[in-house]
Formats: sequence, structure tokens, C-alpha cells
Amino acid sequence: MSVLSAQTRSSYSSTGMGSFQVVVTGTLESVTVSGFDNVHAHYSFKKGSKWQYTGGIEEGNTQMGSKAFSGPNRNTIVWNFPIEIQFSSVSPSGWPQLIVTVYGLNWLGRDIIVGTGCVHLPVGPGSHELAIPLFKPKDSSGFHSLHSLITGTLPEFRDPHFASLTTQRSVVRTQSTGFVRVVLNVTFRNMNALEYSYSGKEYSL
Amino acid sequence: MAELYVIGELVGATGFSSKNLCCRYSIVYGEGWDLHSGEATGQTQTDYAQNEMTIWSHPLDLQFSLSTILGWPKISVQVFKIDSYGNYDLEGYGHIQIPQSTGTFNMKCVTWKPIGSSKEEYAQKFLGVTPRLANDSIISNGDDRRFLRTQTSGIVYLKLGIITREMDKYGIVTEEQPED
Repeated sequence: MSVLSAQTRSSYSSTGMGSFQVVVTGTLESVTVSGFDNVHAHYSFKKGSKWQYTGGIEEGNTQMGSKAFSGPNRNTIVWNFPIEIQFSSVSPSGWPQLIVTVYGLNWLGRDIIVGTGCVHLPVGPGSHELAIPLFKPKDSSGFHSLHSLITGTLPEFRDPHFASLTTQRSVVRTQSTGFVRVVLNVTFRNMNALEYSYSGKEYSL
Repeated sequence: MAELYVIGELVGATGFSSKNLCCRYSIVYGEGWDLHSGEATGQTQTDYAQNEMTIWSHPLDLQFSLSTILGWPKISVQVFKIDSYGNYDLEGYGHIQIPQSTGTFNMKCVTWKPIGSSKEEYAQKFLGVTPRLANDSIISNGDDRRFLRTQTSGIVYLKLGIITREMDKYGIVTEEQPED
């Protein structure tokens, strides 16, 4: 985990000719999931080889949040956790992805995985609201599901960045579980000078 | 050369006869286009949905260079369902054009599947063998489909972000210009 001030020195070297910066600030707001009363999340980023972190916090853990006692949204658990990160790159290829893994407590008080989700950070400046869908690996056989029921050890991805991969997915079976709501504000720097065209507009077709 | 970056996700699907689905995709583009990075074909995981929407959230990150506008890339998708015996059956074919203007696009790809002869339909009902296309390229090219009979299937959702580079330099206009 790196802190803003510790990284600012390196940001000068990577802001040379030919690179642009993407600054993302935002909030990991809440999760909508059924069947869990207490959940916390871990977030991190996955980026291509041409990208560098130049500031902000690269990964973190939210607090353990609980459901509201009353109210209309009994399935939504709020964290309101801040995110702040800066990237520098020479190419949009390998655009950073936000990976959120949500953990809940089962009846024994153990941490179990609720789901993992991964989306690309917005590719336009401005405010963006994202719903990150969560999924978790499924037991590969009836025996495994019985085993995990008895021992309380649920299947998990060996690679925590599995959700961000484009290959190797075809052999995996998953179960989708819910959504994490994230609001992100994105700012670009130096992109016009490199003749990139972009837009913060969002269309639904 | 002008460049096109497509960054987004193959989000998921609704409206198919099963909620346990996977999707195979391929990127189709014309001559004069080069795919520099990213996977031209791929397959999502198989998702067993609890809610009404099947989720894949399969990342797409594509970099093209172009020397002509014709042959702008398309994404061709094939959706399969997994039945209780673990067999994959075809559920739908579809394609979408990758948007040409910059921004973020939440897109719906509507799909169809072939209807076979009455013998094939019986085979589908009792053996789970669905008729498929012999040649997948017909999904996205404009070849004659006059003699194909198809049935409406579900919707595949995609979210695509578009960034371009040096389009102005080559005089290419991909979006409406503000009037002044």
C-alpha cells in the first residue's frame, strides 16, 4: 500500500513526453446482495504493462458493514469508502480495471467469499456511476458442494485477479450474486497533446 | 496511422431459455485494419445466475490501427446454455457494430437461433441437439440469409468505451460536429 507523498517523486519521471495521466477519485458506496448481514470488501487495480501508478492508494479494505435495522433497502449495505488513485501511461491499451472482492460472515463467524467483480475504469472524463456485478466460483461437482457444506470451505479463485483475465475463463463455472455500486470521477491530463479523442458521454443504445 | 481503442466488458445476458449461459465471441474486422493488442476470440465463464440476469463481466481491451474506415470492427457473439447433463447447446447468434464515436456505450445485442427441419426439431426436443450454422461468418457478414429460418432469442449486454487517436489528422470525422 503506497501513500500519495511517497510516490510523487516517481511521477515526475513518468510524466515525460508521450505519456498521459488518468486521475480517479471516487467512492465505493455500497453492495446489494442477499443472504448476508455483514460484509466487507477488498479493492485493487489491475493494469497493463505500459501503465504505472503515480500516486494514491493502490489497494485497500473497507470496514465491515452491516444492514440497516429498518428502511426500504434491506439488501443494501453501505461502506462509503473513498478511492483515490493516479495512473500514468503511454497507451490506452491495458486500461486499468477495478477489482472488488466482497467477503461476508457465515453463521460460524468465518470470512467467506460473497463474490468478485471487475470493471474497466471509465474511459471518459467526468462522473460515472458503475454497478460492478459480482460472481463467485461454483463447486465443480456434487461431492465438492457436499464437502464445502460440511467443512465450511467454499471454492475460491486461486488467482485473486481472475475476474480481470480475458483468457482461462471458459473452463470456469460461476454463480452471480449481486452488485457493488461505485461512483468515480475521472480526470485526464495530457491526452489532447497526444492526439487522443475521448468523450465523457455515456449512451444507452 | 489512426488508432481505435475499445475498452469495456461483455456484461451479461437476459431473455434466454436458460439462465446458465456462456458466450463465445470473436472480433471481425476488414482489410486495412490491424488488431495490435487484445484477444480476437474468447469465451466467457459459464454463469449460473441467481437473479434474472446472467453475469459474465468479461473484460475487452482492444487496440486497432486503421488505414481505411470500411470494415470497422464488429463483435460476433454465440450464446450457449449448459443443460443438466453438462452439455452446451446453442442459444443464440448475434453481432454488434463497435461504435464509431468516442464515449461509453451501453449496448444490447439481440440474438436469433436457426430453426431446423421438423426432424431436427424433434432431435432438439428429445436429444438436446440444436441446429447450428455450418459457417459462423454469416453471423456478421451481409451474405444472403433468404433461406434461413430463425427464432428470436435473448439479449446480450455489452459496455464499450471508445477512444480514438489521430483521426483528425487523417480528416476522419466520426461524430456530429457542433454547429457554430
